[in-house]
Parts: sequence; C-alpha cells; structure tokens
Amino acid sequence: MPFPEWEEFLDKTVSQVRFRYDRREIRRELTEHLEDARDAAADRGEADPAAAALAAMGDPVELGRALDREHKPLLGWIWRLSRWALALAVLVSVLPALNLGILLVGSAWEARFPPYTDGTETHGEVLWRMDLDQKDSFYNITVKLDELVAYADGSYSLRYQVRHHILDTGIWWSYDFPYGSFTDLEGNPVSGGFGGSSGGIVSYCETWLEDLPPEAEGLLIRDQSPSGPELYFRIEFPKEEGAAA
Amino acid sequence: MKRVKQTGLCLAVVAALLFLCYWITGYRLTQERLFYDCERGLRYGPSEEIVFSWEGEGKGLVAGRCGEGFSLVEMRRRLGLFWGLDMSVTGYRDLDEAVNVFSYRSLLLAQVTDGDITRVRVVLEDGRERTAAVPPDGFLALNFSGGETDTLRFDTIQGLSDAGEILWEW
Repeated sequence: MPFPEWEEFLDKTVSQVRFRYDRREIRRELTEHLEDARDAAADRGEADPAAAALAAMGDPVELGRALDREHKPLLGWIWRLSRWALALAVLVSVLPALNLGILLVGSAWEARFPPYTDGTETHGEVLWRMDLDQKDSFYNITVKLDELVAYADGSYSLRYQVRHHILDTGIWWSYDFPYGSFTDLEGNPVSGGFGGSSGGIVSYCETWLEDLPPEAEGLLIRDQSPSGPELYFRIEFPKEEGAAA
Repeated sequence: MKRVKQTGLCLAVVAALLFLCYWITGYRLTQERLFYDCERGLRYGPSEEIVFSWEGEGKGLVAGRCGEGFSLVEMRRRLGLFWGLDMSVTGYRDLDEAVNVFSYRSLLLAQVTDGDITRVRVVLEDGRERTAAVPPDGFLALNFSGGETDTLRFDTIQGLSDAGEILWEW
C-alpha cells in the first residue's frame, strides 16, 4: 500500500462490514478501484493523483455501511458453512463414489461379456435355445430371464439378469434363486439355483438344471418371501423339439 | 444474489453426496432403520414388530417377529455415529423348534412356540445357570455378560413345564 491515507480510508471502510471474513476481499477490490482512479487522475494531469482518487471514493463510513448491507452476516455464515459442508461431504463420499464406480464398471463389463459358459464340452451338443424375455420383481430387484439352453445330456442352462432398483434404499445383497425354487410344470422339484449374481447394479447369471425329468414340458420358478411377495416364472418348452429330446 | 445461488448449489450437491453415502455404504443413523433396510435387501419383511434391540461394546442386535419366523440383524457402530451391518447377518429364521434359540455375544434370545413350556433353563459350560419364566408372547432375552469370553458356550438348554418336566432339550 503506497499511501498511508489510503490505508486509513480502507481501515475505516471495512470496519463497517460486520461479516469479517469478507473484509479482506472488499479491501482488495477497493484498492483496485483506488489504483484505477489514481491512474485516471494521472492521465488527466492532476497534481496529486492519489489524493484525487481518494476524494473520488467519498465518505469511508457511508461506503462501509453500504457494503455491510450487501454482505449480510447471516447469509455470509450460511454461505461459509455450506462450503465447509461441501468439502466434508466430498471427503466422506470418496470411497462410496469409488464403490459406485466399481459397480458401474462391473455391470458394464458383464453386459459386454456375459459370464455364460459353453457347456458343449461337458453336456454335449445344444439341442435348442429359447429366448425367454420374461421379468418379475420383488423388493429391490428385478429378475429378467434371457435364455434357456437345452443340452444333449438333459441339462439346461438358464441365463438371466438380476437388476437392482437404483433408488431403492434397501441394503444391497447379491441374489440367487434359492434352493427349491425350481419345479417342472407338475410341481416335481428340480435341482438348481445358486447361479450367483455379483450384487452389482446389473448382474448376468447362469444356473444349471440337471435333473429335469425327460418328459417335462416346462419349468416353474418361484421364490416366495416369508412375508408374502414372490418371484414367479412359467416357461413352457418348445413343442416340436421337446425337452425329452 | 450470487452468494444465495452458490449456497443453494452447495447444499444441493451436499444433499446428493450424502444420499450417495447413505445409499452405497449401508450406514444408517438408527438401529431400526438399518434393521428394516437390511430386511428389504434380504427380500423379506418388514417385521411386524421389533421385539428386542440391544447395544453394547460397539455392537448391536435387533430382533423382530416376521410372519411365521424371526428376523435377526447383527450390526456394529460405524464412525461413532452410524450403524452398519456386522460381518455376518442371520436374517430370517424359521421357528421350527419348541424353543428356538439364538445367541449373539453375551445374549441368548429364545422364542418359545410350545404353549406348555413355561420356563427355560440355560446352563453354560462355565457353570453359570439361569432359569427364566416364558412371557405371554413367548419371547425372552437373557444377558450373560461378565463371562471370560465373548461367545456363549451352552451346556444345556431346556424347556420346562409348570411341573418341571423337560419338554424340550438341547
């Protein structure tokens, strides 16, 4: 600060501003105004440009009160606290955001490369494939059946997606069809389940069914929650090829 | 006005980030909230009523009656303020015994389904013994705190009739 008079003017002005955290910024802006006014006065050929600049600024107390009305303490504190809250929120969100990123990347990866196995080496040739395109929901998931593949040795591969409802606030758990979910259309139990979803936003899963009776004409899938809601699917096998093939 | 807009934007971003934390971390402010959100995630519930909740040594347990079964969620304190799920969670349990027993740390919870059983007698391996009357709703909780280990080791659990006859034993 080159001039003591400016210093005194600035001190008087900013002392009127009650929200003290804004005083430094106000002081900096006023100094810039003074410097601009001084340069303009020098260009006009004034004898004392610094004093002319100071005179142009008016009464420091009035100016300070006007600035105080623009920088209200209550709003200033709310603004300041909101910035601290933002910094804290960003800090605590780093790990959850990473977790979300991993879930998103994992889901995108599974969509690009579904983890379905080629069962022909173990189960023989593929007899038929059936696009299913059925879906049902309960609680915070939707299960979408994609495809059923029948193999020569009587095994079936059921391929499906498990989608978590994004905005549901229930804790996320992976989902498998539990033991006992599968029967043929007559209600005879079929082993299967535990296909394994990863618990991501969208998981691509595969469950093997290996003891479906040869004469079975279809498959029922039912997962009944103890509280009542259930997932339910009914799949009828193609007539021509038949499950008995 | 610029400051008002900045404040509004800041608070909106803070709210979005806090929701992200709430959503992803599974941390909740209360045991009850965590209990119900865990039940939802495990695809059963919500329990009709919470019959027991416990907190001690940074751990917690909430038990609820859910349809024909029982719901148990183990939890632990997180960051001193929140509740998060413990390493393993029991979830839904069928009540298929005359006396259905659950233990967690120093606690023993029992749901009695046989109306003839009016008392439950518990003997621990360290010799401590307790007999408790079965309340009308069949649920009882016993705290065996003060033992040498965190885990209860049972020698005998018996369901007794009024006459002292052993109707169920483990």
